[in-house]
Amino acid sequence: MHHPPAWILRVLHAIDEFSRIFGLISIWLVLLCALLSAINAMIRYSSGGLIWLEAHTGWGVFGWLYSLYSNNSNALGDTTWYMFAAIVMLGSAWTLKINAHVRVDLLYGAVSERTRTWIDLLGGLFFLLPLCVLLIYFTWDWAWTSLVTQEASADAGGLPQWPAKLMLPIGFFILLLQGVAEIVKCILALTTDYVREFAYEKPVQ
Amino acid sequence: MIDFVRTNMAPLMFGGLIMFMLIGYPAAFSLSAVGLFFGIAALQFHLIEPEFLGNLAYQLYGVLSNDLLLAVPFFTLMGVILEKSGLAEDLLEGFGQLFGRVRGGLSYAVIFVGAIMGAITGTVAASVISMGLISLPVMMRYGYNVRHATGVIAASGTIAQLIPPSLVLIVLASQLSQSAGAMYVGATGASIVQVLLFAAWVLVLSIVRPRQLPALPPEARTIRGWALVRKLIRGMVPSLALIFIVLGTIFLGLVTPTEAGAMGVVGSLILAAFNRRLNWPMLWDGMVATMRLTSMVIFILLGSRVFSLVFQGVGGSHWIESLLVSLPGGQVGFLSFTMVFIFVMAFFLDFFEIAFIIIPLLTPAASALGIDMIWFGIMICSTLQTSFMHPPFGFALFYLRGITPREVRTRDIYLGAIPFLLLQVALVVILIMFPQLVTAFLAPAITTDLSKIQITLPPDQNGDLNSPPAFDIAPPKFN
Repeated sequence: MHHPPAWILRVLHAIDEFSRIFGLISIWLVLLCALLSAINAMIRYSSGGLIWLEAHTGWGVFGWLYSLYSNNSNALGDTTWYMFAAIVMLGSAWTLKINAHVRVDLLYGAVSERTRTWIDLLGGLFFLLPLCVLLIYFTWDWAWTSLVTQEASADAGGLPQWPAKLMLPIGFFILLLQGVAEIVKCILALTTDYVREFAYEKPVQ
Repeated sequence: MIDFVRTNMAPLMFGGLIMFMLIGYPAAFSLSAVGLFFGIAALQFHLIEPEFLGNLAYQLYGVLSNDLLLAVPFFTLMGVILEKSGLAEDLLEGFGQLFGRVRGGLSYAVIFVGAIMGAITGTVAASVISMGLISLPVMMRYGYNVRHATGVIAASGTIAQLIPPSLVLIVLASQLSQSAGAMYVGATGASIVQVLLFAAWVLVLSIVRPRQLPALPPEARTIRGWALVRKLIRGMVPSLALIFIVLGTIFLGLVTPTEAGAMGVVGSLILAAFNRRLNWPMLWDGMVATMRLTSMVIFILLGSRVFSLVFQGVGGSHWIESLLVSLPGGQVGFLSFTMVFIFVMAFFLDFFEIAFIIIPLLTPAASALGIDMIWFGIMICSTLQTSFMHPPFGFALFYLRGITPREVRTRDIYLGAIPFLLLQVALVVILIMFPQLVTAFLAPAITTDLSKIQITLPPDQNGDLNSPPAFDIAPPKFN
């Protein structure tokens, strides 16, 4: 058993790091998204109060706040699920890296580490890579058209749809990259003294 | 050979799904791979048109733009924060002291607190871990039977699955195309029956085997009088406030379940801050866990959309429907079969896999048999609840194993869960026999006989196109 070539390890590290950055974005979006959605709901139910304050004070401030909210509420609502799309699509590569995608571990749980590596290698080659390539193919033109035509939201005053649509091909691309890295890791684990970092554990829920 | 493949594409695809899944590669990717593989094959056999696969982008986008699924990260994050907020500790200590004097008192306290925690949050981990850490040591110290103690804790933790605002109900609502609010209303009766069943079992045990669940001796009841009242208030006031923020606002129709989840996150952050438990590492860990779970869960759903698009394209849903509708026994036969099937599948598959892979196959047949979808959903939910409790993969048992001391044997945890599993099966049977438990709480569906709608025009203007339109037309009458 010899060591894996250093340059391959450097490339693998670079891909891991790339996925990690998108994973971090995704983690931050979890909190931001929850706070934004809560704020949206709270303002909506205090809008009656704003109107009342404006009617009684006549200062203009509350009316301005109210119109600011009511003109942008659909954009705010759109933002929350755009963030959701980003959490899912940008986070999936990192989730793959830390081996947290759920499996049916009836067989997988019973076989040796070497067999598991083989399963991951073949699964990566024949399942993950083709599906990423095909799904990028199916979503890229569709998202790009939405961008160049500036396709509008279904709701009045909402945001254009392309940022959410673009999440699909971008997400599958990051996943593809990480998928290649995982396949290389499997090959290294089978041929050199490389040890794969993350053992599979059932997710908590 | 080619003809055989052509005519049996759907069964072959189903077989392929089972094979690909069994290999053990992540379910989300195996699902999409089966879908795309058979999609290309179906293209070659001209079973579907190339444009058909163009729908994939819209199918995937439909998952990401589903407002209801946004509740998944919110309720997960809320559960993680709540678990560390110290709320369950206050509740358990208070009610343990209050009920401690009667036989089985600690078990009642666990069931009761499990129900309250369930009504606040939608995840199992939060309740099982806190109850295991706080109540189990006390129960063991005062001579509770270990099997009973671990069983009641695991079972009470899983109540969170059935009591609104459960995450499982939200996911099922989106899978059955029902509103989450209606699912919540429908689940209310079932969850009350469940809590009563558990409590009744403790009562029976405390009469038949009094030594297994003794009353606390006086020296163990350290808090009494005003101190106890204060303790109870400390636990109950934030609980009721959170229940109102999350459930109350949904039932009042003020917010969507998704927004209620977001409000719940803010509420539990405030509570944790109030109890001086809020810190950055805790919150960060929660965010990381939530991101992972969300991405994992929604990716399974994306994969299942790829699969089911092609599966429907090759006529799979008709095939499954014809298999299931021909089962003997009509509704009851179908329901018994599907519940046993889900119960068995739950030994091998995760809850999310069942919800996204199995349920879509069952729903067309269920609606063909005229089964109320909410009733169906609540039954699935109760059956799935067993998957958290049964050996060897039940999550509730895993959590409990992770936090119990060494002297509790794994065997005891598994055996202790069995009576509660049986109670759970009893609940499903009760639900099949008495659909009113679910449907009575729902607003009756508006049934209007279209042939009886009459729109009456004022007689003097009837058919006169030259007269100006009259706006005092009587409203349509629904008979």
